[in-house]
Amino acid sequence: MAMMTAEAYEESLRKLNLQVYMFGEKIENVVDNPIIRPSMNAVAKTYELAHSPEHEDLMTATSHITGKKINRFTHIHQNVSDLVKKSKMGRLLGRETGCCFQRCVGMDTLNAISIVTYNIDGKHGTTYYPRFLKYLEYIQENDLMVDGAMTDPKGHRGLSPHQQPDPDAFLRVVEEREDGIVVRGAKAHQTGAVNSHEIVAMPTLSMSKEDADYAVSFALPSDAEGITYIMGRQSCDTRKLEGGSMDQGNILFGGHEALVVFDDVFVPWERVFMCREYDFAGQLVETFAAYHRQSYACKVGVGDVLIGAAQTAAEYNGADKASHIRDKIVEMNHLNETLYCGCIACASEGHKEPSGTYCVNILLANVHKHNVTRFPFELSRLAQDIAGGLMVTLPSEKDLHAPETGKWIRKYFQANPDVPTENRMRILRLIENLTLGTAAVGYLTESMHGAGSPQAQRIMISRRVNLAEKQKAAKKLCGIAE
Amino acid sequence: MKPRIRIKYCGGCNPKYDRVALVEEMKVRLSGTVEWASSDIASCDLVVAVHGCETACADLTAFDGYEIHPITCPEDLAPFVERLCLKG
Repeated sequence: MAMMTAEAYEESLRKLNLQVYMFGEKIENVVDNPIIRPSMNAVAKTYELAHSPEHEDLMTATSHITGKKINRFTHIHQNVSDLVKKSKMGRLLGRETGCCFQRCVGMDTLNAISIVTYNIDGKHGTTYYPRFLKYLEYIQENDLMVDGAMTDPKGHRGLSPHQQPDPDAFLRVVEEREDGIVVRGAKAHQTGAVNSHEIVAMPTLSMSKEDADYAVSFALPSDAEGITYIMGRQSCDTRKLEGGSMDQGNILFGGHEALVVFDDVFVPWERVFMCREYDFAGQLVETFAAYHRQSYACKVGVGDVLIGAAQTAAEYNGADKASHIRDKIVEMNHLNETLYCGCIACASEGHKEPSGTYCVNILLANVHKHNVTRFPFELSRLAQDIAGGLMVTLPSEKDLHAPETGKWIRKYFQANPDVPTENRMRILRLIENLTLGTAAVGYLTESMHGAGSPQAQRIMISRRVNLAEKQKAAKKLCGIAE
Repeated sequence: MKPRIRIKYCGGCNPKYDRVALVEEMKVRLSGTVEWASSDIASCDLVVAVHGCETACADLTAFDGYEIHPITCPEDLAPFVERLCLKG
């Protein structure tokens, strides 16, 4: 099968039998649900651009298994160039959608598992790696969207998985059969879950021998029996139900997250990639996290949108010539391009793992993601500063179109006489969307906690830097001999 | 005989100009002078690599042995058009 088009992707989702709940009700038509559909549009963009001559250089790759042209989101990185293109692809799609396009997590999962299954086989004599390659070929051949599922609900944070009062706080193996395993538990915050064809689960932290049942990685069709999705809600989400084309800010795209419950779900052995090899749980977490921290290149693309919106708002306000506004725009660009430096650097400094898969520089990936936990907040502060308070006190689109109130809104919210009031309202709504509306879920809180909270990166930075070498350099220069 | 030209874009991660608009303008200005090759690289005489910036990172490995003309900014268009028109 060739790479899917956006239209074929949408049709493929209609064939799934997902058990999705939102606002206490079962969603029968997931694809056309107005709250979910913008997120489907964002994933569809990853399919659409792969067929675009002006973007295929980033969006496609050559499969190392079949030699065929595939969507880069299903590719295993074969060299440093692949890693760099991944970062660039993230920026491109972030700018095209202005939100989380949800497909990077599956790519990062496939790459991490390609490394770790090879290493498990090397130590334990298992056959996970060839099993994984067969599964990967299925994903590539069918151009599937994969939800990489790592984060467990985790229960009491001070207790390890086997110590939890509720043993299901972490996803675990509850039964082992001749033909496969049965798993129970949940994965939280699953970005793009109901837009996915497949779910690939991984452990969420390093495990001890006592946690062996929790050291499990496997793949399932997203509509496998026993899987239930409970949609997370987002700030301002019900604006999508109001109709109109202004108040939701980003009128085309969005993201979503869901709690995914596995209620005694059967997984055949050919889809199991780790089963009780607890000594490799930490390696899988660390490898996936490094790739996924690189993936926050997408926030640079969203930052491009925010900077463009802030500059436009300044022009619409008639304030763009003010020196402090110009300086704030420079500062926004400085912050955004600094983020870009990190995601390019960790890719450029990548290396080859024993499996042949190229992995990012883990220290630099963590530094990059740590910057992402901070800079989008400052970028948002500056954008709100430039936009002005009207961003949060604007009347609604319906008021703009109502005969009794529209004339007053047009009259009193006109700023630059060359710009229609409606356009001014639209750009302010976009900034609102990105900095405190539905897109702020992705641009701010996901930047903080996605791919690991800030402390997780600080731990990795402290582990990965070579302090002794730095001390040696310092001592040498000032004449300390030891 | 008119030369057959194949366009190869970079991926467009952060282009400094509108690459597609530039190619459209190129096609207008070279109308009647050249032929445009599709993705069949075996039948082109010249590859125009349209890069969005001076990093010029378009993957050209599939075009080994072909004459490649890089474009990295809008200012590169006029001399390229002039060169082809002079040849024609």
